Amino acid sequence: MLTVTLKEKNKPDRTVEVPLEIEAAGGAAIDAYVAATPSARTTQLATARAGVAARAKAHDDALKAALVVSAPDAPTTSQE
Amino acid sequence: MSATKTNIRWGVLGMIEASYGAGGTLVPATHGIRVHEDPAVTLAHTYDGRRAGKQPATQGAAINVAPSGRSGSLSAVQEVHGGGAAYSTTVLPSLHTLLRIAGMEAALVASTSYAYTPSSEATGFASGAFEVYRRSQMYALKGVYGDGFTLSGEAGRPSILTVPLMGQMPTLPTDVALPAITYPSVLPPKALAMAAAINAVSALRCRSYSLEMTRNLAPRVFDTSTGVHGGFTPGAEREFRLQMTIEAVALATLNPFSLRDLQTVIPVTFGVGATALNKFVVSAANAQIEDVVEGNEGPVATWDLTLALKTSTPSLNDEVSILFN
Repeated sequence: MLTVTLKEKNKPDRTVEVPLEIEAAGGAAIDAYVAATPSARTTQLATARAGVAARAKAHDDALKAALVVSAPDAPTTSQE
Repeated sequence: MSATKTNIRWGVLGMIEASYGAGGTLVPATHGIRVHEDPAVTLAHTYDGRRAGKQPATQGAAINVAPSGRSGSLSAVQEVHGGGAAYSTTVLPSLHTLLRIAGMEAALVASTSYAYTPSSEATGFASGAFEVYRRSQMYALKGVYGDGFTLSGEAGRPSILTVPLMGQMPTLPTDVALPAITYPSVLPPKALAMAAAINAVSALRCRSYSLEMTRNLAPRVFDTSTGVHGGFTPGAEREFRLQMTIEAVALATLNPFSLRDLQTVIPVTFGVGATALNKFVVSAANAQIEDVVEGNEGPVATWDLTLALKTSTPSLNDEVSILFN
């Protein structure tokens, strides 16, 4: 997990736990998540998760389509 | 005649995945990891395609089927340096991505520091997506974990991080030219004034150190949904060991033999670098000396100490801390 602590003048330190879905999106997404209100964070995380799920499904579908299904072995002629 | 294919140039792009095996879009301007040794990728399969037995009516073997479950592994070796500027979500220590996927969590205190501590299963393990460029080819890996790491250094020199990486490799290598990768320009700090302290005895002279984490990655069950390698998962146990070669001192000052025999729990700390935002400190609060070997550096008496780093309670993940500040 990545945690980010912000130190602001005349305010108590604020520490935000950043989920992997947000961390993977990089600096700007992390900054936006940390700066957002708790309810906005929930929305951001849901959006990020939906995006990840969609990409994962597309990736899995491509892999499945590429799966080579072996044809059943043709019967061999007896050598006896 | 075609141009000579060489192994002169290489490059590694790596990023943290949103979830295990999710992959990601790697950007040369953002995700460069400056490895200074050839990141040779070894391909392996869960099933090599060899058929059982032999042909029924000859001594010969049947032709293979295609192998299944391809994975890739490599060793990433990089110099360790800090961000060189106020730490943020984009100004990071050089080893950030590799340490994260090798089983360490990160805590950023904005502008000030990054601290790395062991990961907890409760909060999830970070995995990575990689593109490895070498031999004018590209190897794409996802679901990559580091099978532990070794952070090592010698007095007066920069430190080195080595991470053995293992991940899924759904596609074969392809011909791809090395992209123009952006790397940080920060120079690595040297281990000059290390401020090494063992059991609160400070001013020790440290010849070298090696912090090693073993993680015991294990393969998951074959992915029978997509037909690719099932990926990996961290083992149930991890171990941290710290090896230090220090100049021996009077036993009245520091007695490693006694500390080993009594298995006294002791704190250990040392640092590398002196410039703010480009230095780091390794600390372990619950170390126990496992082995003491008397060595020599020419005429100088030394000790090769092996310390096991433990947690403070049954549930915490606090064997070690690596603080960049």
